Amino acid sequence: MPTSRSHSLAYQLISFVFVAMLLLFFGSTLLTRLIYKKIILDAQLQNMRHLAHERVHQLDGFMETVSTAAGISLELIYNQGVDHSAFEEHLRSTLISNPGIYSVCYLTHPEKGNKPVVYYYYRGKHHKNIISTDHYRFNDWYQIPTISGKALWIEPWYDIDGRGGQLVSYSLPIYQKGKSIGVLRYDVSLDYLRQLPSTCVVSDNLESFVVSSTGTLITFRDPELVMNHSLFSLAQDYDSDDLYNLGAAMINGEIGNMYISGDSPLGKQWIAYFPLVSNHWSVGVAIHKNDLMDTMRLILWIQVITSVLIFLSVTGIIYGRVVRVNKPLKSLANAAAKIGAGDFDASLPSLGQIHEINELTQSFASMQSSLKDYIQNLRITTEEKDKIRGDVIYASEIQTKLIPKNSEHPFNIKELRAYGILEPAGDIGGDLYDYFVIDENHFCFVIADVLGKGIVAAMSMAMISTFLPSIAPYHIRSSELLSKLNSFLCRNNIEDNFVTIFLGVLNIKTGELEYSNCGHVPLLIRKIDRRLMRYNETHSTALGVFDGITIDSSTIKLDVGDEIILYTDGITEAQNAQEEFLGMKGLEKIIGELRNPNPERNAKYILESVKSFAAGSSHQDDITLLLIDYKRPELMG
Amino acid sequence: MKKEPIAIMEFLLLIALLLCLIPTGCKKEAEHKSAHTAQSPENEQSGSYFTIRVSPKWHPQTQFAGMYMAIKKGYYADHKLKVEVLPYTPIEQQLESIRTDKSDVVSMDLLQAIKLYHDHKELVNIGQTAQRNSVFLVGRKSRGIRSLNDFNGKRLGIWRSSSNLITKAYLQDYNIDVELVPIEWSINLFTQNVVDIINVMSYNEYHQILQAGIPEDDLFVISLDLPDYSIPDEGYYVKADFYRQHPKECRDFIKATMDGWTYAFTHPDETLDEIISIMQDAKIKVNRSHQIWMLKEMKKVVLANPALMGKLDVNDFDKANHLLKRTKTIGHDVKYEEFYPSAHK
Repeated sequence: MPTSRSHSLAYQLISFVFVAMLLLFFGSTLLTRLIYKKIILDAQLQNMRHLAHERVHQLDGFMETVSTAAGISLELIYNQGVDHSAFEEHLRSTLISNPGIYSVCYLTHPEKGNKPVVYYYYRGKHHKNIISTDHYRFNDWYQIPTISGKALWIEPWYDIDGRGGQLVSYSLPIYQKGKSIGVLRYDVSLDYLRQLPSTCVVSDNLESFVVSSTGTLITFRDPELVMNHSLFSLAQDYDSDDLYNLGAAMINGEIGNMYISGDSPLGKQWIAYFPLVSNHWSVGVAIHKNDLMDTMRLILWIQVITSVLIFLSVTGIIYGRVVRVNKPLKSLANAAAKIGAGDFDASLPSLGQIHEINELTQSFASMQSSLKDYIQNLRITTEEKDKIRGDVIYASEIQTKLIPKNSEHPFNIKELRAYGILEPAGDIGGDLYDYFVIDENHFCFVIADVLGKGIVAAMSMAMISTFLPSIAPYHIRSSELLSKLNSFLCRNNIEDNFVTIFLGVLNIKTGELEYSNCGHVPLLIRKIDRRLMRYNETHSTALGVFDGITIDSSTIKLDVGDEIILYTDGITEAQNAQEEFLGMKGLEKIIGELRNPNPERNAKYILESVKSFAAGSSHQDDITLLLIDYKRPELMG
Repeated sequence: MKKEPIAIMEFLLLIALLLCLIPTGCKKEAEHKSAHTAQSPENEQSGSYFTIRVSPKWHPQTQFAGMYMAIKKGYYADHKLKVEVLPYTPIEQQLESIRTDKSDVVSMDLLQAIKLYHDHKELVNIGQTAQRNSVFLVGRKSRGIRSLNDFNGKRLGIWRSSSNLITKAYLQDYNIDVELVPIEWSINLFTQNVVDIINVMSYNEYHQILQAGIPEDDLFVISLDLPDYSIPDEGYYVKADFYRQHPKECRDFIKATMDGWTYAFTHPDETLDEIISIMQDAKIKVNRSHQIWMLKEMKKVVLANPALMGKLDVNDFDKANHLLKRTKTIGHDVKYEEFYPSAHK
């Protein structure tokens, strides 16, 4: 039966596959991302480093051209001086053939009271000036080569004395006979430098920039930052350690790459950098991390879409197969429902291509056949049992009729009141009580317990209850009656059942009671003063086993108001829930609670008390009680 | 001690001044197309505004924030002043400019100004921006400069103007034998290791060195803000005649400038925006973090003694006088009241 928590096979398979595929998908995506990120990043950074190197190579080539031209000029100065047409022609042709060279300046130191002289060349024009001030001496392009004695590239500067503009200069100290006589300066306009392919934006997502030896931005996509900012000032503005580290690496001439976090103009970008050889500049190539990961993102999207398509396909396939598998299963379920409703001939689905389903169908068919046979056998057995049950019920009725019907004065004998109860454990029992009149003075009563239960015991009981009245007119003593009964039972006993029995013959007139107890529980007599007399002696073993045994008897005289209490071991051996026996003490305790003699009331009280005691116990035995009270005639008022 | 080239140059300039001392017309008509000018709607219409042309010691930057903010906020206009800030020129040209009445006010270091006054009795102090000394001597630990004694035998970049007097006195007092390389403004001699030590201003070049990628922990720094050397630098100077003729305008100029400083310190963002805008207009290299640094440092300099803000402290003057005499830069004392005529006002 489907429950609220149960789901279809298709649902379970698909959800299971979905979860499994989801885990696999995430795992594979993470792995792919990790691997591809490293591969793409490594490849892209290597490409960027190559690009930076290529640009450095181009820029160094340009710088080399300038420094070479400056070197030739220096040779001319050394060899011929500057005040002649050959030098001017050399500079004119140099400037024409090298459009990157913006201007050339040659400045002599003041000597022997002479003021310094400056020679300035610019695109075919030149002039020679005598300088009256000396502030030129404090420019980097003059001071640095003069003091260091080296030819070198100077940090970008603003030429307010020349034609203006931001320049990068290559300055050479000029010596004559070991003495510095001036400085030769070759200028390159930063504007020209920025237009060189090697300093421009590389592509849509790659861009290059150049920083000077102090980290100052020489070229950059944002012209506002050029010459105004160094990587270190940007690091301060944006509080970026990454930028500071990048600046330090670049001005220290390192080769490498670095990721810059944060929101600075270089933030969220990967930078590859390579130093120039000609000076301490460095070229950086930058790519935004999103652009860098475009390829990887595309791969991941393809993977996601592929995974979704695979999942949808697998889901469709699983659903189709499950529906196909479910069809015979549903037929089987329907057939099972019909069989459950009693239709054992319900048709089963025909065999298909699924081996397991075929096996299940065949097993089900076998079960159907077995079930059909079983039900048939069960029906026959049930019919037989019902028949036996009917017989038993009939026997029970007969047994009930064999015991005397309770009346206040049995056989209208005024001196006696008797009340008997027989409650078999099953439909029929093996206990017996009976009483009858032998003659006008003698009243015979008997209680017996046949070993076992059921039909055999009931038959033995029936035999006893019919045998005793039949011989009683000829044998008035209890011992004789029981001896005859023993012989009868030994002859006709079924399955060697033995019988415990108490039989008494009461002289109604005298109150004399002669009785024999053959293996039965003791006789109890409750006196009118409520004392309880117990007669333990037995007069033989149980009957029906040994023929010819001697059976004695005892005789007592009843007093007025004596109440004879006879019972079977179903009373004393009654068990409570703790499997404790009621015992003689328990019975005597119950009897002690009885009020005045009254067989019917007292018998019912004893029975209820015993049942109350045995409540909850699974043990059951036949229970039989017979109470008789006696009032001797001469004493009756 | 090496011969002082600056003194020779100044002597030549003085001669040139005497030869060329020709009236150049009303200073109110001076034209400086690139000058930064106090804007007032009434300026062009009213003749009651007195024009003051200021020749600063450097290009526009936060070092002069008081002046620029006084212009922007109309503090000069409140005193019926029209202030024009002239473009920067080297000190020689500044002096030439004021001597030829092409400017009215120059900003100069105290020591430099006292020496000039001692030599020529020409320029007088009308107010003092700086109240303390801002000179640092900086070397690189990684290049072996870890103590003052390490200066010996090394090259030291030093201001070429007479504002280097404090540094020279300090080195002389400690018997440091160092090769002095006169410099004007560039720190590149230091960053390119042409000089081993350089004197810098705490509010300017020191931070430029940091912005050139030299780690602060690699720097060995001596601050000359020491008891014997802490002589404030920048102040405003006019010709003595100018002051005699326009004492109120001079005092108003200083008062408005100090009001400008007060505004600048209390409104740093607005001030920085204004200064950066001016610098960008003048096509001067600028970055905000450097100007922030400068404003913070200038606050220490201008407000070192808030009670004397804008004034020349007689103790500072005496200290400067003493140092100049001790180093034989001047031969006799310069009188405080003469040098700073508004002292008794």
